[in-house]
Amino acid sequence: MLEQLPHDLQIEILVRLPVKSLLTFQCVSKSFKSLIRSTAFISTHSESTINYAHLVKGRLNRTGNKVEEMGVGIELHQFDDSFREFQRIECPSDTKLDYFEEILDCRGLLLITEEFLLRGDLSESFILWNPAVRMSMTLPTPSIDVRMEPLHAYFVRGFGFDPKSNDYKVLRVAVYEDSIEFPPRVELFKLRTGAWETVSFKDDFHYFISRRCSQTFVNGASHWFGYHSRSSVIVSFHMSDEKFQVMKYPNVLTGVRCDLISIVDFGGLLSLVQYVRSGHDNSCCIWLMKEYGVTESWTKQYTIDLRYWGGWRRSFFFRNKRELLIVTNSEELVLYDPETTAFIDLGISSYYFHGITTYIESLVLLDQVNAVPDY
Amino acid sequence: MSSTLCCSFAKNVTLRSSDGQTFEVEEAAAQVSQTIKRMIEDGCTGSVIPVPNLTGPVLALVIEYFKKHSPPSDGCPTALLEMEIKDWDAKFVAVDNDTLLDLTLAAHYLEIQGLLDLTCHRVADILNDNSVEKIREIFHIKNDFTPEEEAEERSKIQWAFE
Repeated sequence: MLEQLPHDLQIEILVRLPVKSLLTFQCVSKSFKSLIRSTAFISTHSESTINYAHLVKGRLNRTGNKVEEMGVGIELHQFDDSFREFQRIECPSDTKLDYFEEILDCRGLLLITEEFLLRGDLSESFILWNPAVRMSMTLPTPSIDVRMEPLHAYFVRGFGFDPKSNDYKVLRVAVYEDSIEFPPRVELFKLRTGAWETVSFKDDFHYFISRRCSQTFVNGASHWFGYHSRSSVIVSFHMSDEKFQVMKYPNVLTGVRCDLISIVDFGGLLSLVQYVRSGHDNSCCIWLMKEYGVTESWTKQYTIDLRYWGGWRRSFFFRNKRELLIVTNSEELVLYDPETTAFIDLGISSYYFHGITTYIESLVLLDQVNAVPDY
Repeated sequence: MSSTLCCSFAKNVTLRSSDGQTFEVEEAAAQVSQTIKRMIEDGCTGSVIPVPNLTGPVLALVIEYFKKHSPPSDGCPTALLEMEIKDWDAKFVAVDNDTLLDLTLAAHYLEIQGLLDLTCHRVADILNDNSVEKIREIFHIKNDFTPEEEAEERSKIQWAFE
């Protein structure tokens, strides 16, 4: 009888179910299975708000470091009121577990970047992973290779979703260190085509992207801490237009150091968390860019007193469009609620953890022929 | 109804189900359905509005829903009223599964967003609380996998069943 309901009504019902239930319901019948695995359903389901969110901590393993004794792995904390429930999950079988470089998240998918030694040279591998369906996909080897070039280069990465083409995109930027003469080289991977392509842009792009801060994906674009001679800027790459853009910080923050600022997503608005430490002052300020791309619209929202916590390392997101997650000086994770001005110590340490991000459960990758089960 | 005064002024419409049963209901209440609202606005209501996709018993239930959800004549609904409606809604969909699916379809045909959300949510809850076998049974779904195929499907996602 349920199968006799119109197709869009079936979707209307199934879209309200969590990922794990939907996985098992593939066994109900063939039509259930094909509906649940269809690209259209997966996309609709990803937009629904019923999906569980998790805090993800990736533990790295650096040779010659005490961290090695701790092992390598990824931990998930259920992103509910307590954050207490957590599980250690197996990494995709393709991960080499040598050098986690970075973990980025976007709309139900994680991008894991690893560095590894290949015939004596350092190489990078990229894995798209959906822990909720336990499937992953190793990306083909990127084409930009800077190892033989005279100038030293490093890589920064972006990961985002383009709603126009309904596609996930991975960006890889080779930044030539200390050489403004050489614009970065850029390539883009699209999940739909399954291939990397070179992105060309005007030669007059003379900004550096800092390697010390990960991207923040908001408003359809990846954002990084960038700089040019003595001024600091925000460099962004829009996933639909495939273009770079440069935005200014609020005037009082021109020249701010990257370790004193975090770019964050405040319920879809580009925002900043600025750390201030001078004299007795030990606090952070929240800035919102009320109109995207308009420097004049930067507005200082409020200030958080951090004296009790000793200091600030970085901040990365707002929960419920309100609460800010702060990594303190001692690598403790603390949630701050501006309405009650209360802090919640989550009892979770980020110590020894290289990548911390969040991810929302989704069915993404289930429809990808190249994706493989984790084990 | 809280006020008999308002009812005496209210305009009524007549709805006819697929099996020829007719129901009289306030026009304002029936307009909870976008489909009926459009028909009234287009003036194609004549004396009786046909609702060919719904049987009498289902239409009678839908009219109960209309009455509870018709816009209050005296302005904004209060928080207390909203809570009362929420309780009423929960009881309204605590029906047998076939009736629930009939109501879901009715909400779909008549474009009653509130009822659609309510019924779909309820069906999803039932699905979520039951095993694959039970879901086939409750919703009369034919298992078209061969035993081998089903075993293979299950083995691929064994962890999700744990």
